[in-house]
Amino acid sequence: MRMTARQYANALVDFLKKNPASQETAASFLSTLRKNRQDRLLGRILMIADDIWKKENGIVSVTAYVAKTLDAAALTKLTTDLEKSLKKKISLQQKENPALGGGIALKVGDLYFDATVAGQLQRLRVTFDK
Amino acid sequence: MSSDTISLFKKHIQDFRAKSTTEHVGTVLEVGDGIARISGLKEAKSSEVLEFPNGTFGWALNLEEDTIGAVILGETEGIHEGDTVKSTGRILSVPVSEKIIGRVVNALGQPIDGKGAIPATEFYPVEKVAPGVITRKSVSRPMQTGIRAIDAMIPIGRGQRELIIGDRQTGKTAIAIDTILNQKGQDLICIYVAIGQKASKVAKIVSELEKHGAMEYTTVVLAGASDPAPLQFLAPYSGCAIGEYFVDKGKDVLVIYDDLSKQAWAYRQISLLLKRPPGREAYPGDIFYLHSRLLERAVCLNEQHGGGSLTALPIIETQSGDVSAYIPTNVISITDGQIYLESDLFFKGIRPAVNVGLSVSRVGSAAQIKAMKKVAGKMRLDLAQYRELAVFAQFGTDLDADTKKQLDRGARITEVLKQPQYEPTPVEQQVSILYAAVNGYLDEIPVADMMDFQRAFFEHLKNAQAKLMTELREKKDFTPEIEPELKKVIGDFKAYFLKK
Repeated sequence: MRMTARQYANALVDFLKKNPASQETAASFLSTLRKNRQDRLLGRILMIADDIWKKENGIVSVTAYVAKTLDAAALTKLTTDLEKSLKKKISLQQKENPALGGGIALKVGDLYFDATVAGQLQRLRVTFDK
Repeated sequence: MSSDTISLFKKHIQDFRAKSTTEHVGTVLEVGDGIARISGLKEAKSSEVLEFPNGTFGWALNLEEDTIGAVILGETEGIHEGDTVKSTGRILSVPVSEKIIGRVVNALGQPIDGKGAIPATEFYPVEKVAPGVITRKSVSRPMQTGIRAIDAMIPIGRGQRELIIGDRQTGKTAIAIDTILNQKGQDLICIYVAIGQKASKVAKIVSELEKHGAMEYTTVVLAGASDPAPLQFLAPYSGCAIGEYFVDKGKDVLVIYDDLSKQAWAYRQISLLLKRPPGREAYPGDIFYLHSRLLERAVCLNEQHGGGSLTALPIIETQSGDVSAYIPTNVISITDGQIYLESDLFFKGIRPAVNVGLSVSRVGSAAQIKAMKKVAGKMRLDLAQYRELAVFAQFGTDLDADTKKQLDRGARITEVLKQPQYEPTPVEQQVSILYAAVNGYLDEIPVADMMDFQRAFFEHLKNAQAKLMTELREKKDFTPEIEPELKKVIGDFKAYFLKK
């Protein structure tokens, strides 16, 4: 029976919980994938494993899209505010995109909160098109 | 720009407040061959429309454990791995309005004829559950095709599903187009769905429809050979959704799917790319359901539900006359009958090349006017006897008078059923010529002159016997007043023709 990416990810997380990560473990995992001709699943397995690990440890991944990179103080304040409102630990990553004009957009899991200038102008354009 | 528009703009800008929005998003993992695999979007529904960053829409077809398999409804250029995909919360639907009549649109209902935008009043879902038993009534009103062989022997009713099946180049599309041409003034809206066809062929069809004034009541939905497979798969459902808009308004609609073999190929391609398990002829397991759920939407609604109807004429192309292949047998079993076209008949000059032996209409005479019922029953018998005798007559020359008479009658009826393209015959003219043929009035006309006779006879009926024709069309039967007069008209015209 061929295993799915999620099954591999679950197995990997379970193994790493009980055993320390080592080069041998990684090599053995990769050779198993190659033997089963499923090495193309590696990217997806790691993504799911990361999700599982974060979920189990109560960590939420948040990506902040900003027009200009936030300084350390702003970043800390944003992290604290998000942790307070989500009541979870935050793993914050920021991505700079000057086309956003200003404001901020946050991606929390599957949800995308858009409070950027570009987003608001886009909504205004849609209203005019109607 | 008018002052109203400017003041509206000003108001919008004044009222504008900075607000944030929340959307469900996913990430493109891989994209290729018109398919995108997306992670995230855990809330997405089956058949939901997704929006890619380049403005292209996708259609969520496979909801898997961690990913979504979506078909891309448009250009894949500009979609990259890592792009954000938004869920729209909408099920795929097409914009519809009265203004769509006379236009050529793509599978998404967008105009492609260069005549400007079509203002939409509503959106109709492309996938919809077929109307239930309570809303339906049995098919009872005829949908005249204008083709004598079909209207007489394989009658089609409003709300019926009649398959047109045959090899390539046997005249399948010609029957469909003639049927559209014959609907002028018949209070029937036509939708022609072209799937996987050459753009040049569709351009020719549209120009013929325009030339004959048929675009006034016709919409063409085109997913051509150069369009992506998802659009070819989608086009029949879009055509049906446009039809349903008019049916809901109590109107009669005819939808022609030309052809469903190519839609099945497109669906097979999509399914294999989505890694669904292949079955017979590499089609996926739900290939039957693909066509049954489409054709089940053909309906004849009862009066409580508006009384509209949707007639479906699906077309299937066979390979080397093999009707027992997978897709042909599926669609034969779904529909209420089939019109079988044969290459041999076509090359013998019998056009339309309808094999009346293998063709059938399961709704039958319920969808025929009384006058047609009277002539068609006798004609079917005459033709059956003719075909049987013609086989034996090949082996010997000594034939008794009765046999010879039957052979002569059969040959003339066969000639009456031949018909040139783009010349549909009104039902009153059809019953007049068939009445003449089955009652022996044409026995003295040489077979070689039958085509000339018919053409002249139709001209005579149209110009000199307009009153009789109107009466026949309205009464729909050979009343004691109409029948003697028709006999006289036929007799007089035959004498005139033979003298000439």
